[in-house]
Amino acid sequence: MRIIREFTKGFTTELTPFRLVLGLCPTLAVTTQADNGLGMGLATTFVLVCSNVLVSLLRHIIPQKVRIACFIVMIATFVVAVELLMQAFFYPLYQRLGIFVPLIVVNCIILGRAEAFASKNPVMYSAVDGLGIGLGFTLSLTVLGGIRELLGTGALFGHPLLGASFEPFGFMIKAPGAFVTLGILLFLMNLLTSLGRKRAH
Amino acid sequence: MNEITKMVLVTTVICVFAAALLAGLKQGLSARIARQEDYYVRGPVIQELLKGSPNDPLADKVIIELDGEEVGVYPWIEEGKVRRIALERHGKGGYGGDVVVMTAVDLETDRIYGVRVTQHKETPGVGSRAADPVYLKRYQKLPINQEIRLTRDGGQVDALSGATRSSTAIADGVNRAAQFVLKHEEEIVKRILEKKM
Amino acid sequence: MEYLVLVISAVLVQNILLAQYLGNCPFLGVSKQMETALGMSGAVIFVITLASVITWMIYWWVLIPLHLEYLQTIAFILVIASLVQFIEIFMKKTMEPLYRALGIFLPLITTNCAVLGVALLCIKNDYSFGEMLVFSISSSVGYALALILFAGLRERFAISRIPEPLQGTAIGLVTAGLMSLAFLGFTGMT
Repeated sequence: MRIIREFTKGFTTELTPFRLVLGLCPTLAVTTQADNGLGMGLATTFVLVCSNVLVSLLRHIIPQKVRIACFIVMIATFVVAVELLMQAFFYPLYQRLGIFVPLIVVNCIILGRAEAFASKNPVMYSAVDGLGIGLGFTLSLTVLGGIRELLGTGALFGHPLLGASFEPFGFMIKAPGAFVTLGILLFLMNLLTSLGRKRAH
Repeated sequence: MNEITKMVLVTTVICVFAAALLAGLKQGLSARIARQEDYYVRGPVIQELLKGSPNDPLADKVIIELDGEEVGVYPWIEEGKVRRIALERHGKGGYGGDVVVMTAVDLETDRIYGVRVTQHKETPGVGSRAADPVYLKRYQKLPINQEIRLTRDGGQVDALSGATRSSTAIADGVNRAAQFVLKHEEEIVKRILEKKM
Repeated sequence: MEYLVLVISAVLVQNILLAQYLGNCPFLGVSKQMETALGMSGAVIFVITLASVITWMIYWWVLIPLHLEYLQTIAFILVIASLVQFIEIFMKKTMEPLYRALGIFLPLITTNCAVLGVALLCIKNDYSFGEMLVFSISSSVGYALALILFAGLRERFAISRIPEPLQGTAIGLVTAGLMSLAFLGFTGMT
C-alpha cells in the first residue's frame, strides 16, 4: 500500500531531523522542555499538512517560474494563521516559543516537502506525506526535549520524576546542551543503523 | 494565455486569498487574543495589586478611548461602587526604552494604591532593580492631584541610586496614570458601572 | 556606551548561532571548508544588515500606521526573498567579481533563518533605527565569527580519525556544542 508507505517513511528513512538533517534551528532552540517540543512539532505539522495539500491542489495552475514565491506566500499564510490561533488558544506556549513561531516559515522541511513531494504528487499522498513527516518531526522534538528536560531539571512534562536528591545538569537546558544532545542522538542512530547493516550481511 | 499574464494573475490571486483568510481570522480571534494577553501578561500583576477585590478585575476591564488613545482600566468594585482602579501607562526615558507601569489608584482618597512594572528592558541587575516591588512601595499613598516626580526633579519620590533613568521612567509612567485618572475620573467610573449593569 | 554593550552582547554573549540557534542549517552545511565559510560570512553580513533596515522601515512606516502588525511574518519573508533575488541580479550586472565570490550563497540565504530571525528580533526588542543598525551588523558579524572559527575546526576533521558513526553532522554538532560552551563563558560580561 503506497499510502501507508508514504506515512511511515516519516518515522523511518526520512525521519527529520535525524535522517534528513533539516529544520535544525527550531529543533535546537525550543527543546528545553518536552511540551515545548511537542507544541512546536504540532504547529509545524499543521503548517506542513496545509501547505502540502494546497501546493498539491494548485500544482497544475502555478507557473513554474514563480512557484517558489507562491509556495512561500502560502506557507507564510499558514504560519501567520498558526501564530494567531496559538495566541488565542495556547498563549503560554506562544510566549515560550517566541520568535520561533514566525520562524516556521523558514523551516527548510516545509519548503523542501512542497518542492520535492507535493508539487509532483496527488493531494491524498501529499497530505499523508505531510502528516507522516510532521509527526516524525514532532516525535523527534518531544524525545529531544524530554531528554534535556529530564537531565536538565529532573522533571518530564513539568512533573518532577527524579526526586530531590537528583542534582540537575544546568548544562543540558542551555545552548551547548542542545548541540551535544542532538549530536549524541545522531551518533547513536548511525551506530544502530550500521550494526543492523552488519547483521544483515 | 500569455505566460507573464498568467504568472502575475496566479500570484495576485494567491496573495488576495491569503490576505482575505488572515484578515478574517484576525477579525474573528482578536477579542480572544486580547483576553488571553490580559490573563497571562497583566493577570499576575493585577492580582497582586488589587488583591482582595470582591470582583474579578480582569473580567470587568473596560477600554476607555479618550484624547485619541485607548486605555484599559481594571476596576475593584465593592458594594456597587468603584473603589480602586488599575491602569497601564508607558513611562518614557528608560535606559532601554519605555517602561510599562501598572498603577493602582484609590478613588476614595485620590491617592496611589500601588505600583508594579509589567514590562521593561532595563539592564538586568542595574536598572531592573527599580522594578522591585519593595522600591515601588515609595509611591504608595502619594496624592494624585499633584505631579508625581523624582526628588531631583523637584518631586516627592527618591530615585534608586545607580538606576536614575529607570526610576525616572517609572515616575513618568505613574504620573501619566495619575494625570489620566485625575482628568477623567467621572467618565471612567461611569463606563465601569455601565458595563457592570 | 549603550551601543558598545549592544555590540558585545550581540557578537559574543547572545551570539545568534551559538546562543540563539539561528541559521544552523547553513552553519553545518557550508562550514566544511574555510573558503566557502568566508564567502557565506560575507553574504550573510551584507544580507542581514540590508534586510533588517528594510524590514524595520516596513514595520514602522507601513504596517504600524495601517494596523497590520499581525502580517509582519508574511511581509518580512516576501521582502527578504525578493531582496535576495534583487541583490543577485544587481550584483551579476554591476559587481562581477563580488558576484563570483558570493553569488552561489545568495539563494541559500532566503531560507537562512538568521536573516528573518534578526529582522524579527529588531522588532521584538523595540529597537530604534540606530540600535537596529548596530544590532544587525554585530549579530551578523557574530554569525560570521562563529562560522569561520567552526570551519577552522572542521578542516581538521579531515586529518583526524573519527569513529564512523560519529562522522559528518554528529561530530559537527558535538563540536558546535563545545564552542557554544566556550561562548557561554562570556555571559555576565555586559
